[in-house]
Amino acid sequence: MSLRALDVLVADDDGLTRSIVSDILRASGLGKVWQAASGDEAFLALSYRRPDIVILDLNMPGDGASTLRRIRRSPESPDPHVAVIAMTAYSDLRRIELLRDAGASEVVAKPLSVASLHARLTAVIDRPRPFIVSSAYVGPERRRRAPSADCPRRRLADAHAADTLEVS
Amino acid sequence: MNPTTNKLRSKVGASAGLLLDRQARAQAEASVQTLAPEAFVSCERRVQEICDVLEGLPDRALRDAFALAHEIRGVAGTFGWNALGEIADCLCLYLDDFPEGGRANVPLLQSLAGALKAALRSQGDADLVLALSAECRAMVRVIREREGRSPDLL
Repeated sequence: MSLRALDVLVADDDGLTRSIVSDILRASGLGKVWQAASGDEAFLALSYRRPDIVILDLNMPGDGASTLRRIRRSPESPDPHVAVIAMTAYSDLRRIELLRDAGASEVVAKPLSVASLHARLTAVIDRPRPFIVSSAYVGPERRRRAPSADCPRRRLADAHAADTLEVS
Repeated sequence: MNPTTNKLRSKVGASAGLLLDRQARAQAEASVQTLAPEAFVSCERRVQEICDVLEGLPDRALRDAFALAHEIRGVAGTFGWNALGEIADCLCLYLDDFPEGGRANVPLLQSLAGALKAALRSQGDADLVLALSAECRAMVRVIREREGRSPDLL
């Protein structure tokens, strides 16, 4: 019973932020922590390191959101299902939606704190959402809660999503 | 809907919520604090870079200053350096939606750069922090309005 079984890739162009996140992860007992300084490096590292969790900054060369979409959708992606925690210094709704629609498992806003990072780690490890693969979206289901019996799914897209649900 | 197979949880063998407990948090927080000197030097370097780029003031300088202030704000937030974070936030507020080709308010930028330097020197002085950051924010809001922008970001 240990978080040491999980390896993490931290992708951020700012070396200090990479060090902060990596230190938090190591001190929290996670396994190997690798670092990448750009979206391209992160994609490459995903191929040969095969981390269990990727922590990806939105603002970096290669653009975090594009990298995230590439991880989820590219035929060359080595692990489209990998848990991705997206980091952003902007917590406005537009950017959060951008990351959610790109396929982020969780979003953590800067300034980073140990508590906020632990909360996102706990969410991806303990409460992963079903994985959706459809023509319009690939990533964890964007709804946080399943609809209850007395609140049926009514949108046209729901029927399509149900057809393409892939649980990982 | 089928239940989700939980691969990460299986690898860990227990709830992450239980493993990332108060003790783990304290250990991680202590570990991050060892980076504080390095972070402070990095903020000092960035403040100096802001002062340097604002001397020229071409359009590109404003974008560079915004990026630097943005980084300072993030690092300062992580380490609890409130004065530095607040004033960097004021600089971000002024530059975030600054119109391309517009004429920046040089005295304001110079004041904010000076305030950043003062904040670096006065960490821990809560009264000074409050006064300095309130003054900076008020200045930025007034000047934004004068420039035809809303006092705060929309």
